[in-house]
Amino acid sequence: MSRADERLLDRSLRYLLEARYALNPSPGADPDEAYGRILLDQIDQALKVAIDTEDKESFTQLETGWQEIPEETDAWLPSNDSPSGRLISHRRVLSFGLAMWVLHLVRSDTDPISEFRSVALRALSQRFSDVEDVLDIYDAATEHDEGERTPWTNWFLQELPEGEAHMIPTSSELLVTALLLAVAWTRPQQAEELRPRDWFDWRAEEIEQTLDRLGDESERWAPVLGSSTSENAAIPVADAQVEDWRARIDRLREQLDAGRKGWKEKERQAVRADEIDPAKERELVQGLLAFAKKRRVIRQVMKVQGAMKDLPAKPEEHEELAARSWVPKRMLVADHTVLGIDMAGRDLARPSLDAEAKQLLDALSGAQPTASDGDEDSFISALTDAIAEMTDSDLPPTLLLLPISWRLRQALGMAPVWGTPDMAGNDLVPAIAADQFAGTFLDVPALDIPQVPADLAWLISLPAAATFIEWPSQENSGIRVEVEEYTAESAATFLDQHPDVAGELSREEAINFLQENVMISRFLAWKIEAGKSEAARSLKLPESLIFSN
Amino acid sequence: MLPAGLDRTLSGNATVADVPTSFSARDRQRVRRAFKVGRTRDWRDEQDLVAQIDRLHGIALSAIREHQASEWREIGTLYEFVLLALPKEAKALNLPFTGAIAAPGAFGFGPLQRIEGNLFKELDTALELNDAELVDAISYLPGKVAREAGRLGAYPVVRSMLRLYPAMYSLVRSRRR
Repeated sequence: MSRADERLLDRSLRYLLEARYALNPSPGADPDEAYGRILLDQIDQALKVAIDTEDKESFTQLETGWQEIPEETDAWLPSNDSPSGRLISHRRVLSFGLAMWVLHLVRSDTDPISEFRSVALRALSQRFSDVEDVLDIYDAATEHDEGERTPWTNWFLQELPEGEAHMIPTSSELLVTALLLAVAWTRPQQAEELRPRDWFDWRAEEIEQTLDRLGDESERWAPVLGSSTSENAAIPVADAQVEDWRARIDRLREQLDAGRKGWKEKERQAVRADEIDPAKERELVQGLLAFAKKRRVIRQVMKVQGAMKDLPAKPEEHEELAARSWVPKRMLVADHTVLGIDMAGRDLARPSLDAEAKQLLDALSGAQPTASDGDEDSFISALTDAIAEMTDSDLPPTLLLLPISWRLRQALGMAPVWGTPDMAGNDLVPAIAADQFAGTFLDVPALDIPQVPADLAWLISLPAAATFIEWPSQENSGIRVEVEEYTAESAATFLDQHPDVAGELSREEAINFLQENVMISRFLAWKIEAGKSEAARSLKLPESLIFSN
Repeated sequence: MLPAGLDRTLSGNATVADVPTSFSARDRQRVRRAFKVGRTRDWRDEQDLVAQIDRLHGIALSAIREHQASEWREIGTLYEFVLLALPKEAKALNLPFTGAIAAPGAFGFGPLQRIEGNLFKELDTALELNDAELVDAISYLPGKVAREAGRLGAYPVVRSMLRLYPAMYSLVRSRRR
């Protein structure tokens, strides 16, 4: 190394560190935060060079030197929102990033950990005071990285070939660093539990896998970050280190697991205490009503075929039919971001749509069964005859209700399942639902829906066979929706009235369940009444035309 | 108050600056002189400055090759003057040294980056020639300018100067390997 090289090595580090003397504009004044951040970022960059080139002396000089920018005092807390506090926090985040970088280099290498990297890791790990401190800085580091306030993405990119797309591993590398440093600070006999954090839950699988790996690599990490002594003289230090390292991992695993449960419980408590957000409730109900209104194909067919009766109000003697479902309340509280509320609404609409087909089939239960010989030809011939007979007896079929079966469609000469037949202009078919029809058979429009039993076809003459009776509903959807949430008191009252709701849950668990869910009730604002039994016929399908999964 | 902002296109009768009524006639005159409103954007001054800096760089390299540390220091003083001139003016007018003032077009990519690059090349040359005294002189300047720029609130200059140090350290480490 030339004299000039030596001089530059010394001056580049010394002048960089001496720049800290301009940090405080006057004695006792707050540090100049913007200046301090720039200075810390440059020292961080120099430390990264020291790590990359394994320059122990310079690393130590810089790492020790930047502890004074600004000096940490006993009064400092991570929450200290002052220029000094924010600068210290920034420095500690950068320090965490350097630990991540050393760790990244170690893990990219199968060789034993070099002396420099051991020293660097140990020095950086010693800048934390306990596991909570490590996790606090990890949280801050993640936040800084997401806000693109760190150089880490560039560090990884510099290692990768240009002109290609790459996955930047910063997020997972930060987690591995947090867990490794946390193991280093865990003591097996430590009784305290950790403060619950959200990522203990949503990154639980990754945490578990990382701890497993750190356990498998105990021989590698224990000499660097584990204890340096053996309490039992009979056990060699190396063996004791590994044993202690594994015990630390076990303890940390327990603490993280308890923290995860704690977080979930905290979240449940918050949901129980929260009130439903009216905007989210509206979104759910609107999704439900809009879907229900659009998909009422049975009602639409019966209306267009004159089999419908409108009432001004629900008949007094009629007992409303309702479908009830529990929906997690967290979906509807303001603090939670939930995607797909409208989709949940659609799911809630399905039972009422199924009910239309079910009630129609119930109304047709007295229909005359028509036999055939069990093969396709005789089925088609029986169907043809039934149409002719019904037409002759002044009950012309207006609807052929079929189960879903592509073979059946094919046998009846209808459009394939994926096709859309041209039903335009057919007076028996509602224009709004024309695309849901399978086609026509001898001019009778055919509708195949999943609610029809797989082995039966129905030939129906409307309006004689059944009547759809309807009274006002929300947005003409055919249903009325009620959303009910529970407080601890109303949940207890509800349980007293409906003890079976608790199932196998204890009373306390059941009350919590009720507070963490809302009940969505959909009341049907219609009913289908049976008409003349001879106005419908059922036909048994031959085995070859039955669709089976 | 600068209702129009710097580096903007103005319509006729636009207000360029609001000053308190307490300003004396002399203060008003000073403020008036601080603005230049032209028909079209004029880059010539900046180009002249960059050309001057390039000439300085040529002289600096000659001084380094001849191991003339004192001559280089004089050039270093000129670099310092250029780097701090606009921040000082901004400070005198109580304007933050950010945005249009520090961004490319006014004083961004141009003189500042030019000098930063020149200093690094000059240092590299001194290193090649194994001139420890020149290395000392050149490496001292960025820290000195950064401290003064920090006092003026000229953070782009602080960053530009301080980032030379990790670059210098990286340079010497890469030579060692």
